[in-house]
Amino acid sequence: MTDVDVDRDGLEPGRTSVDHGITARIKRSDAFRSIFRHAQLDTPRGRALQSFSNFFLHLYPVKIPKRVLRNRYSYRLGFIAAVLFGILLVTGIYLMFVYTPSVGSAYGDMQRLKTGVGFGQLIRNIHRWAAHLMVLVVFLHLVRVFYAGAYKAPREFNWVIGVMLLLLTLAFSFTGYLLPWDQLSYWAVTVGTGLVHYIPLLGGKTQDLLIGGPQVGQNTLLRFYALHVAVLPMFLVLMLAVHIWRVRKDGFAVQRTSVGAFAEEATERPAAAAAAAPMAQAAPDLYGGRVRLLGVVDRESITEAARPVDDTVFTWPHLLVRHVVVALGTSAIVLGLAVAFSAPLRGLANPNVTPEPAKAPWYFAGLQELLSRFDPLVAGILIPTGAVLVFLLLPYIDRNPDTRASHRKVAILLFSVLLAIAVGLTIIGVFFRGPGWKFIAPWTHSYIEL
Amino acid sequence: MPRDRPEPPPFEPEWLERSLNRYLAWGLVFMVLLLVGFVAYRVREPGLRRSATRAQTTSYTDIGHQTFSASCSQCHGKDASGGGSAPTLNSSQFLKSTTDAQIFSLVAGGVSGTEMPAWSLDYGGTFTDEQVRQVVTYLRSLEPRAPSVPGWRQSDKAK
Repeated sequence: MTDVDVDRDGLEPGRTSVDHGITARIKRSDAFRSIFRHAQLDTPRGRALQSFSNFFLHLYPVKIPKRVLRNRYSYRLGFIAAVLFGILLVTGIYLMFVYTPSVGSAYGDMQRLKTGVGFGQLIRNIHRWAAHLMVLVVFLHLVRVFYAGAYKAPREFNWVIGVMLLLLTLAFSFTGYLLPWDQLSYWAVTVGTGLVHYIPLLGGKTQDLLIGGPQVGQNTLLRFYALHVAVLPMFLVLMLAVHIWRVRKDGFAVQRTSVGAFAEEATERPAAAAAAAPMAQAAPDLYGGRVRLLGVVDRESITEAARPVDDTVFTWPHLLVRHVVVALGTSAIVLGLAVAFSAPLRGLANPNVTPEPAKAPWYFAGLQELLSRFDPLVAGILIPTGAVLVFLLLPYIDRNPDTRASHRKVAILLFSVLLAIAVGLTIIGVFFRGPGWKFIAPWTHSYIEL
Repeated sequence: MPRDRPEPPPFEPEWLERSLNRYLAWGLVFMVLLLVGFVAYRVREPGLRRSATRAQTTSYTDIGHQTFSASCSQCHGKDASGGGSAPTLNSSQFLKSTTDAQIFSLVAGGVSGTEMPAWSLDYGGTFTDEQVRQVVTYLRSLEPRAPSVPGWRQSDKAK
């Protein structure tokens, strides 16, 4: 019986009589079968066909190791970030319908969301909360990937793409911050773009290019709007596609379990390792000395004989259902935040009245804190640029191929110290700084605006 | 229902099915939460909108008053009470017979054949739409206490 036969008679295997029920009739119709090309069979082959015959499921492998189902495996942070981006796209389009990037009307449009647009304020709240969460989640994703050592071969390049995605996310959040055109956004962006000024030689020109004039004004609003709704989405979608594609290409859940070999944990077995050893010796220069078993020889040909355990499960429905549920949960949390806490809207932007304190958005508060302590050139340019470069090139700096924590103590220690400093500075900047950037106790008065 | 052969044995372990069902249950919970969230907001929305509109009216009235004093009162008189060359706007006759949209287009586009210029930036004036709206809000705020001025069109000449 071929694949087609199963469908043509509309019968599940083992059934001989024709069911005249309405669902069965629909399932037998040509239209239904032109869309869902296979019957939902509860057999290994049936479930594999679900994946093969579905465009969207091609993002996933047909089968995945069981451990991927565990939340602890990745905390699903990358997926949650993608979900948040989806929420931001949808709500962003809604906001575009009612927003004009002009200093004369932007603030009025924000007020109109409150007073006249159905679900307007809610959509704005969702957009704002999803944006904050996305910055946070993308950052946590980076931290998780570091601690798992998942940036090591063969995933070096995907780490680079990932760091770029983090930078894009920050740029997204920062450009969006200006759009309400209230005092909060105006001064956060004035403070933020002020940093650019400290770049040696090119500082002035770059700042001009960014804000389009001597101070944040109509040109800045239009530029930030164009970046926010056209340029950045284009780049982010493109890079995200590459990121996800590489996740798939780099083996999805395949991980290096030991130095020098590259094997699927689920199917790892002595026979495979033994078979790989001569290959490694035979072709030591392949891939710059790193021999990949999967790349050299068809895994099946070695392991067919010795396949004692099948530790894999079908992506459909197991991983897919979990992903859908995580997406629903993420949406529910964002909605809960949006209903409970409204996005702030202070007075109309006024270049002549500086609010106290004028704070950068929270994710730059650490940088602002650093600036208050060091020379602007050092704190505003050298340290951030250096940090970004080190992060971008991390997989090429840290050449230790081992992913086990006990074998990469130095890397973990260095990273943890840097992480603690960055988080500490951010917490001080966000919670412990008041008017005039003076030290205040957060329990006496809070100057946090999200 | 007759069968050719017996049901094949389940090909996936039971714990996997159980865990899948657990997730499906969570999915239902989240869907309910989402629904509840939207409904909760929808219920609160009219109240939120009313208070936002009140707050906006108060601030627009103030700003509109300032704009009016700076740009309009030379002709329309202090606090729109007439006395200049232009109509008395603080009159129940004018305010009762004109909608907000009409006042908006009068201010934005001007009145041809008179001294009233177009104020909107769109037509070569100096006001943004927001400022025009603020002036409209200010004038509307006068309505409850507006005196009766039958000859409001002629301003002081009619008095």
